[in-house]
Amino acid sequence: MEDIKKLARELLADNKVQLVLGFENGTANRVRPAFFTTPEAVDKLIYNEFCIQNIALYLKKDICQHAASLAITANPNVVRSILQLAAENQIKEEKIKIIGITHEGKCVGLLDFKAAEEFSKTQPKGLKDEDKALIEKIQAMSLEEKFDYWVEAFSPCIKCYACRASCPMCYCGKCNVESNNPQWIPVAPHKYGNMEWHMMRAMHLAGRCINCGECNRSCPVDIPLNILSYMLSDFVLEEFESEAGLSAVFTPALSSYTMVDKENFIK
Amino acid sequence: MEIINKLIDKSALATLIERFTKSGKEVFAPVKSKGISEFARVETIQDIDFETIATKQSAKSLVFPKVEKILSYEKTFDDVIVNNVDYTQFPEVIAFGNRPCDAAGFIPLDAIFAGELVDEIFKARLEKLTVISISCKKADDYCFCTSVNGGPGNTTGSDILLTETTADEYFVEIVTEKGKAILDANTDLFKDTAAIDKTPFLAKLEQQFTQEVINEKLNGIFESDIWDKQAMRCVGCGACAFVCPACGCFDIQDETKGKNGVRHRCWDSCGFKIFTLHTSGHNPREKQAQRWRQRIYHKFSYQPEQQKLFGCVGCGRCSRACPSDMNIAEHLKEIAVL
Repeated sequence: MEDIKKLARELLADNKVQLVLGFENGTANRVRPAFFTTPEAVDKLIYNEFCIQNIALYLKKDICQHAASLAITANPNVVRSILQLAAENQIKEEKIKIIGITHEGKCVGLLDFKAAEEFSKTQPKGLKDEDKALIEKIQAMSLEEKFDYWVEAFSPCIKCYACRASCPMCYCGKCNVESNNPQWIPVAPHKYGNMEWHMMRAMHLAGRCINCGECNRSCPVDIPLNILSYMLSDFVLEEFESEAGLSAVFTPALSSYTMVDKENFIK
Repeated sequence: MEIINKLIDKSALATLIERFTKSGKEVFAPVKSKGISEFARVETIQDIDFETIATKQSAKSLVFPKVEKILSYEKTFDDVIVNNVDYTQFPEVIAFGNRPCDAAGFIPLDAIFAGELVDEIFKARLEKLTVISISCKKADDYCFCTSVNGGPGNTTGSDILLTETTADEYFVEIVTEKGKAILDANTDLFKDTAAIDKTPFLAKLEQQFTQEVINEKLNGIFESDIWDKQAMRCVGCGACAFVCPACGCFDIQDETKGKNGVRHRCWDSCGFKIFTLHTSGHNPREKQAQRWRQRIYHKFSYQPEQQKLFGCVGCGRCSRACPSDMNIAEHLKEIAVL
């Protein structure tokens, strides 16, 4: 952690960045996102195994948009998010200094986008054993059973939109669900309103999601949205040989067309 | 009415719950499923989670569900036929095993929905609700009821309050006429006792500030930069408002199919950008910091001014649910010492 702090302090002291985005201690044993603007403030910066919130989310918020340049303590999920945001023209390389941190918490120093791409390839996205078990269980289901499973899984949704608000890839200024003329998605958190909302969000993220799992972590009613996204990512990889978060130059499979695209899903 | 003191042992309590369900009352209590405790329909005392300090969501959905149909309509050739929901037919509901903070939450909700203008649907649900709370033996780092005039053994909002005094027995306080009706119908289950000092059986929770001080401070800090500082990490979701026992904002949604339609009432949150967005495109609360400020002002300034009560019961649910650890008690403490 000391090497991360040293790097953050130097970047601020040498005026290389105006802002460092990282973590500080929170309530009890929790940690929380924090914004450091002076070398002295960095004393409070921490990094440990609890720092799993995907803080790349804040890159699209006012505080980061208004900073001329910034640094971010970036675990593999954050690095993948930055590359994907760059691929979608949401962040420029010259604005951001990535302080790379491995899954094990080891600081690998500053990463430019090329180094970040290499780093991403060596830091595969992880899945917990219970997540793997759930995926296997769902994959073994028939189409009807899958549909019933997700209807049931979405039913506790209260439409607080924490999944959307916590997702670095959900950066639209106006979400489709807020469009009311016409009303594409029912706002009410009833069975079909929940189903349509989560299906719509999943489809908008298919091939773009970097599988950080933040949607599930932030969900107050613990819907396994990360599983849905993970299965879709797997599907996109299989069908289009395309994976988000590995390169700053990338066209999401569902936003592009190539002559080799399979059409065998049209039945 | 004056509080009536009784004792009830655990087997008698089990019988009481059985009698409720057998007589057609719907009993809702904390139930643990997949590691999360939430209010759910129970049949017997075995279903109930007595240990969790606070369910993830509050008990407010018993009177203010996340979504409810309030009317349906049908267009005819030259008219519209409106059918209101028949709110005289709601079932009798018992909230059981909720915490004193949950019970206290029904009071600000009542002030919102059944104040000057009376919401008949809400009122009908509340009238059919009997609240049997259990005092808190434990508190966690998010609890702050003692800072907002509540307490681990507070009777406000409860019809009956149970306090566990031994491994097998609860001290019972019958607080309201609704509570007394339950006592009168089940006298065989209760034993007589004198009033006792509950303090040894309650969680110890230090007071961090007073709501009166917050209210006073808010008079001069509307333009303070504290709102920007506090809201910097807010992600702008509605989790805090939705898990809050005292947040009553709602949205009306019509769903029409052909000539028929249904009107729903759904939870809404002042934390959402769209909450105050005008048709013109102008938004009086453009920044998240302004929306966070609204949340605090509504609970600690506007509600005291308009309804003579505070809109926070100190349950800490918003802080527990927040994906970025916005801790409301910590923020209020900062305001108290400004």
